[in-house]
Amino acid sequence: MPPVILYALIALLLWGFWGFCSKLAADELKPRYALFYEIAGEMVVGAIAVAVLTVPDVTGRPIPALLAAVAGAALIGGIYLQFYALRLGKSGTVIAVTSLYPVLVTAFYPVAVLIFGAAFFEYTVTILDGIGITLALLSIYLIVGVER
Amino acid sequence: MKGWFPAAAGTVLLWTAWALLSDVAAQSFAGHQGVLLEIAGAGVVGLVLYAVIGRPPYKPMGALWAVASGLFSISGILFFSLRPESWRGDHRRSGDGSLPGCNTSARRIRSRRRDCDASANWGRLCNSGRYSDQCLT
Repeated sequence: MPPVILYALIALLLWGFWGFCSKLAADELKPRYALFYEIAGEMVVGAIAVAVLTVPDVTGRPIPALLAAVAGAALIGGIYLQFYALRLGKSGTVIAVTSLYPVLVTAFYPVAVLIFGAAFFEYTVTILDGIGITLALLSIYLIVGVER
Repeated sequence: MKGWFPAAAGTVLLWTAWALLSDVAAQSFAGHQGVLLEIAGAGVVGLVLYAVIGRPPYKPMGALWAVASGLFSISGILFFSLRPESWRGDHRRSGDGSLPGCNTSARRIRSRRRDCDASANWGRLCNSGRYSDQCLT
C-alpha cells in the first residue's frame, strides 16, 4: 500500500476518534474550557511533530506563513463552535453537518480565485460539482429539518 | 431551525476559511509544514484564550477527553498531509537522485534542500519559475 494512502487511512481513523472524544468532552466541560484542553492536546502533537518531521523555513515567506497561522486560528474557531453544537445536538447529526465543509470549500473556490488569483489554484468547478454541492446543501436542510 | 444549527453552520464557515487559507499557504509550504504553522496559530489562540478565561476548572475526565480530542484532531490533519519525504532524514528521491517532480539532481539543489523537502507541491514550485534556475522542468 502506498504510504500516502496509509497516512490517509490513519487520518480517517483518528478523525473518527476525534468526533467521539469531542462529544464526551463537550458533555463534561463548557466549550471554552474544552477548547483550552483541545489546544493543549494539539500542542503536544506539535511538539512531537517538530521533533520528527522537517520544519518549515519561513524566511522570505512571511505572508504564506501568516496565512497558515490564521488558518490554524480559523480551525480552532470552528472547533469551539462545534463544542457548542455538540452540547445542544446529537453528535452524529452535528458532525454529519460540520463534516460537509468541503462542499462549501468547493463552492467558494471561484471566490478564492478572485481574491488570491487564478495562479494559486488549478481547480475549476464543473457542472457535476455544482450538482453535488446542491445535493449536499439539500442534505443539510433535510438533516436540520427532519431530526427528531 | 434546530438550536445547534447556527453553531454548526459557524463551524462549517470557519473550516471553509481554514481549508481555503491552507490551500493558499500550501503554495509555499508543504502539507505537513503548513500544518505545523497552523498549530503555531492555534497555540497563539490558546494563549489568548488562557489570558481571557484563566485557569480551567478541575474536571479530570472532561480534560482527558478534550486533550484526547485535540490529539486526534490535529494528528489526523497531520497524517493527512504527510508524505514519505516529510520525515527527517528521509529525503526521498527518485531512482536517479532527483527529487519528485523535478528533473534536476539532488546535488545541484543541495543548498535548496530544505525548500525542496518542504514542498509537497514541488512540481508546481518548479513550474512557477521560483526555482527555475535549479529545475529543468
